Amino acid sequence: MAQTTAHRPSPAAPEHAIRLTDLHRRFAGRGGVGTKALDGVSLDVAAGEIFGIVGRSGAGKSTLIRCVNLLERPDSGAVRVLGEDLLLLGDRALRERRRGIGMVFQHFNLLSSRTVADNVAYPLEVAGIPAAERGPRVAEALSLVGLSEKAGAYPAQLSGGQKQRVGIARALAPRPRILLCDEATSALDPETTQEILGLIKRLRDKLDLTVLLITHEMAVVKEICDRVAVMEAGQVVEQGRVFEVFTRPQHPTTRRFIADTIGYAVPPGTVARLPAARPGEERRLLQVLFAGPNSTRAVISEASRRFELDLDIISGRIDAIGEEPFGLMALAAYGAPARIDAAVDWFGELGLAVTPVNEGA
Amino acid sequence: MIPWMPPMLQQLFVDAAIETLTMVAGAALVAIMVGLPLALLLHATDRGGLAQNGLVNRPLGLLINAVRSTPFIILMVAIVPFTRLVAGTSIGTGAAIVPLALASTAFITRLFETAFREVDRGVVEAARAMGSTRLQILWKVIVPEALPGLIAAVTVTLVSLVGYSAMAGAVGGGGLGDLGIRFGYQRFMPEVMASVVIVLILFVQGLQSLGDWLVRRVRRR
Repeated sequence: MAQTTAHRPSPAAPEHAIRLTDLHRRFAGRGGVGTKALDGVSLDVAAGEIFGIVGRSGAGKSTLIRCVNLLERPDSGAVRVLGEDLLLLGDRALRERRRGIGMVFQHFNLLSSRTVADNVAYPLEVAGIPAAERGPRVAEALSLVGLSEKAGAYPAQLSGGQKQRVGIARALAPRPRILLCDEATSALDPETTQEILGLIKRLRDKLDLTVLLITHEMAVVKEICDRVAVMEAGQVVEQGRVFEVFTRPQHPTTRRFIADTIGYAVPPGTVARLPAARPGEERRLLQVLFAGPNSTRAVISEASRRFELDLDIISGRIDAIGEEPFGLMALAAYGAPARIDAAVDWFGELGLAVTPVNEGA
Repeated sequence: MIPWMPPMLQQLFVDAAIETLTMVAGAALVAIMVGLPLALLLHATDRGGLAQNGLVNRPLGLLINAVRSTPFIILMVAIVPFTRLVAGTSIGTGAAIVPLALASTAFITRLFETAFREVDRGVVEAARAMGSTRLQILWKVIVPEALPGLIAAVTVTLVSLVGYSAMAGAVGGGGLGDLGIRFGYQRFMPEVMASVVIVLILFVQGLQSLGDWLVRRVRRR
């Protein structure tokens, strides 16, 4: 039983690409009150994952992503990127590290006075890369985003989607290991959003990037993120694997975000056409989310028999997050209130999330 | 060239035009060369700027405002000792360039600063995120992005210099404005006055059109 092999030395690459610890940031306001943009935020982003931060405007997500490359300095906390605490670095070293962290912006922030190629060359110029090497690097970055033929165009001549491709090429030209996306698709139409999200995902796979993105759209998270953190009032209220968060949201804010994305809003008039409840009984609209081991069980008919309820299926569909499918069904339950409650509890025991249906305005 | 004027006046007219051009060009050159770094300094030291510094920003801003709020004719006589120090004399076209340069430097500095302020803050943020130094941001981002605004500022400054230079007659600076006063007004020669006004209008129009054309050329938005 002698141990023959020595312990392997721990790998040089840190497990976490980004590790934010207990960040606080307060902005001075009138009357000395101020607002807490960050109120004790801690996050770990693993190398190679796409991590989404979702929240409404003012939730602090914008401040948070700016803390990763210290465009915004937290009042307290630690910002570790690739194992190094950036807050301890001097100006010169910080500038150097920033070149290893690409950033893409909502409004693209391209230099209007430069051509596409010169925009992509900018970070290389700043990094002191000689002109002879810049050309091939620019060409490489532009071909990554499929914009090689637009090298000589000015940003004003491009569509929003093309501008964001230039923004991505510019962010990737210095070959960073981390990409920060600040509402990268919020200024784009839905189709272009899909296109850009697809591109970011492909680039992550191809270049082994770690992506941290902030968004106010849960649909973006659903589309490309591996993990998600939900922010509200400067705090992370919930985080986890996207599939878990979507199928078992814990916090009311998360539920609201998810309802906007995958939930049902029963069209107005639908409820009015449903039969009324019999005397002494109740009619309750429920939304059941099927995921996990019990999702394939015939739970509707079983619940109907067990709890002596009439269950009327209003609508149902199957959706997927990443490769994982889940079902969503809107039911009208008719029966004694206590029995309906019991059925809801039973669904919960089976791991199926039940929420009231949004009856629509 | 100007057939309705006697040959002697024609010569005076040409000399006066050259004096105006000398004063405008000389003052503008100084104003651009001094005003550009001053405006960059003001912009960088402004609140929320790249190198926020009230101790630099406020006194500089005050000084510029003081120069700008002094009527030009008073400024011209008030700084006579300074003019003598710089130009060796306080009289003549060369000497007139000194107060013109001072006034237009203050003027153009504010206009340049405004042009810098119009540069999209997001672009500056992107440049910071890419690891630019402050000087790189100033020279590679803010100045090129503000270029159309800077050219427009130079145009406006040149046009107002043409106006200011008419007052340079008070210190013997000569120029078209001075010719108009001395011959057109004091000697009651309306054809001289009319010619001066027409030439100045054409001159200003030419400057403005050139400036606008340049702005259109460099604006990529």
